[in-house]
Amino acid sequence: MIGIDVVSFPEFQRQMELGGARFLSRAFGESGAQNKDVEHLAGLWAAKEAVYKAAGIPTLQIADVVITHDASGRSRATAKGQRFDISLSRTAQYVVATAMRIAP
Amino acid sequence: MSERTFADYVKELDEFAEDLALTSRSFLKIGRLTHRELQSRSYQTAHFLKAQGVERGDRIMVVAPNSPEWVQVLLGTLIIGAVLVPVDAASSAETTLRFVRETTPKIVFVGRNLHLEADPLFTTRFLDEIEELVVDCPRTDPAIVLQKEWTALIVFTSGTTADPKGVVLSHENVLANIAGILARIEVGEDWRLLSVLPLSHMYELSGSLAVLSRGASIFYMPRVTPQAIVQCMVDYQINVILAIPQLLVLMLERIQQVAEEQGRTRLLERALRTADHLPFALRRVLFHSVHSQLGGSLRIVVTGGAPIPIDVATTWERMGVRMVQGYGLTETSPILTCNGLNQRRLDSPGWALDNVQLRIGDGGEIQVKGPSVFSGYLHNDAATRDAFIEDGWFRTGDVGQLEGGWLHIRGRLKFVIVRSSGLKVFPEDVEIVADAEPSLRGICIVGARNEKGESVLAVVVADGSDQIVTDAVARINSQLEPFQHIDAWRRWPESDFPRTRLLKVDRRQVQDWVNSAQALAPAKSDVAEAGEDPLVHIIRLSIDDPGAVINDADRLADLGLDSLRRLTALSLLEEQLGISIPDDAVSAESTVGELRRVVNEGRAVEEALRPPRWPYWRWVRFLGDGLREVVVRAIIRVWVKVHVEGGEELASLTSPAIFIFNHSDDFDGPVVYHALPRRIRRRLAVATADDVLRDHKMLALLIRVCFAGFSFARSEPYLPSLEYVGEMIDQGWNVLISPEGKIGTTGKLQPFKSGIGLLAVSLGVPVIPVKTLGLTGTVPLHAKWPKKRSRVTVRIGEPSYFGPQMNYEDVTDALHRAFEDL
Repeated sequence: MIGIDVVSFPEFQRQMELGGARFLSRAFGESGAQNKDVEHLAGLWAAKEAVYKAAGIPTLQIADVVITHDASGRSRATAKGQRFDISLSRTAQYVVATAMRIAP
Repeated sequence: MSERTFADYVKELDEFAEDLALTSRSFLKIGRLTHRELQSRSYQTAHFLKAQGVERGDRIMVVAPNSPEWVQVLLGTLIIGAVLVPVDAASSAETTLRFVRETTPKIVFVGRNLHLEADPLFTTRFLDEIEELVVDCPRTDPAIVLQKEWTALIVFTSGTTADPKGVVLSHENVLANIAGILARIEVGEDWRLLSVLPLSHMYELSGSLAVLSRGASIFYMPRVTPQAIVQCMVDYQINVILAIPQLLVLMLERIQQVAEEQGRTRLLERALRTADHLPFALRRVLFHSVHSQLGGSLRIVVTGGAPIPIDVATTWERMGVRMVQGYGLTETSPILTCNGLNQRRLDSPGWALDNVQLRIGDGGEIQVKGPSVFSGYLHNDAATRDAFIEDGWFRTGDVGQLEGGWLHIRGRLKFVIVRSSGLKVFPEDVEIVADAEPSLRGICIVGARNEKGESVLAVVVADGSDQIVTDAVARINSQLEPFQHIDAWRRWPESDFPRTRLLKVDRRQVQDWVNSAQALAPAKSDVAEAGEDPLVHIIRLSIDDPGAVINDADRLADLGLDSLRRLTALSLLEEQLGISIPDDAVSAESTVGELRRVVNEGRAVEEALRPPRWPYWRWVRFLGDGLREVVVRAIIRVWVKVHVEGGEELASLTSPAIFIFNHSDDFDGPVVYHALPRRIRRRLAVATADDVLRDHKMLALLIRVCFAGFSFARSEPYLPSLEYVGEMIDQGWNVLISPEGKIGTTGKLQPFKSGIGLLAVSLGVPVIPVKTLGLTGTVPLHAKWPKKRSRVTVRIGEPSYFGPQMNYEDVTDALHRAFEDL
């Protein structure tokens, strides 16, 4: 399964400012938002959303999706025992994340 | 005074090197700085400023909300001999530019919300970028030699009496005040202080620097709202706040509102009456539920900025929070007098700090002298000359009295109302009486000039009709001396008075309005904006469409609430309504109505934890009494032959009582119940272990129906259970409870839990011991059915009364002894 998500940086920044600390901890966990860079977090969010769509598990929570990097710097994700490859593309305004479930 | 400067202050941060100094959790910066990090950041900032060409005496302005960066720039500026000009972040661009013109700063550090026009005279930087700006600067001490007389700060007065004036404060002024504060108040390394006031005010600035120098930790909030304050107090286990009286009034209102929602108003009031006689630690136990709303750690509130209404201070003290009041002015860096942690009065802002000389001069004016008193106003020699009299005494402009060293402040000299008779009325004296009048939301007393002198005019903010206000004024006058009486009143044309930075009513503006023709116009009644549904408001905010039409049947996705915005909406709902909503409570498919239900459930959770009321319905009691008297009694008689001794005094009991019994057997509850006279039995509720009621459904039903049982916690938190006993007593129920907490297997009396002592002293009801002898083993622990027949003696003791002034632990011991002797 493949999941795709697009996030606009200005919109993400607006939501981040509005939702404040609770927004960040809900989205990334208490420790997940140490890097406060908007583009970084927007990318992280897009990746999580893409994984959510690729996983096809309705009960999956955003917090359940864990984004990691392997030795070569490629983004990976795990969620409820499933593993995913992630690809991110950025423009000035948007970040697009694609997630693909890979065999465990 | 020593030769110390801020160079020494920053150097000494090393003492608490690894302890947490500053924490902030604004949306972009989640920051924690230890004392050593604060030190090295300050050094980096100093190097950065030097590199920018900032020299000794140059001004650096900060116009931004409080943050670790704010403190970093403050210290970095001071240790190169430059001057920091703090400006309230809420100031208008116009005011800020005025301060810029007066102080000609080289760099202005601003928050994200302030947009200053580009100006060739100064550089503007975002304060939250300072970390990146200084990243390549050395972390070493720039080691610049400073003189204590050098200017450290130019702080603009908040001015209830005049236009803001720039107060010039030296290193010595500020450090002397910090030393004075620390000599009065023993700040501990364990202090966790929530910052709620702007650092642009000396009260917050000196207070913060004082506690930091003792290794304490300060927490900053992204935005200061009552909800956010409460949340931060919980999250950070805040134990100290520097507050202004208004905040304490607001928090108290919130506590009373919660009590009302839970139907505990009477309990709260009674607890407050009782608390005076309890030691501090115990007050915190008694008000456990209040404290847990506030994170459970709040121990000390330091207040200043305005006098605190004595009833508000008293209420906080009764709840076990030390109220430490102080008094000071920007010109004095700022603290002049302060209470001590253990030596304090609620009707006084304390006595002069050790390094402050204080006297009462002409007209009762408070005059002071000492190393923390400023040298003069910026570019305003006339005002400086006015402010000082011979020998360097500074005129505070406040009128006060000294009583054995304790200061009492009457009010501002400038606002004293002089009647034609020559009698003087202090507006503050009238306002303190008027503040207790519930039909007025606000009152400001000013003098209205007439041909002969001045009359006392009340400017009010009130929702009620003119008649209601007139009645209120009459009630206020009845509590005042005749010469203080309010002669006339007017409505303020807006929904609140203009206020200063510390939320004091800006008396000068009210006075100006009264003096102007505006006040002569007929009073306008202002219509408050209709309360917007908070849920709708938050959804509109999240989708950035203030005019959106939102119905309960709408699906969230259709309104434009995608997963991102939903997250924002939930975060805002949590923050603003003080509830907790799980992530999976709603999805894109959910409707607004479903979200509303989740929100309401969030509010109802606490309600659900309370014992059910149905066992006390009249028909349930009718049924239960019948079952008990006929069926249960018959069963008891088969197994136990009961002989009752004593209990003659019970006939004269006029109030509900607490009956305590020794728990030696599963059967003793019913046996004791039946040994009591019928009159008592008809309104006797049994405190039953919460785990028993939870785990044995049939037994729970039987206990609830036949014995009017309610659940009582066997482990922390006990307070809700103790409070519930109070409610039962309040409603006229006798309560049967085992102070041992669990069944003893040896037949020997176990120690009593101290909750029984607390109940006895705080409720003031009689406690009657009821002892069973010979029952042990009839229905042993965990047995389902009686194992043997027994002959049992039930001895009913005499009622004991305990006053609220007694120590609850002593009372517990006394009850235990009385029980053993029975």
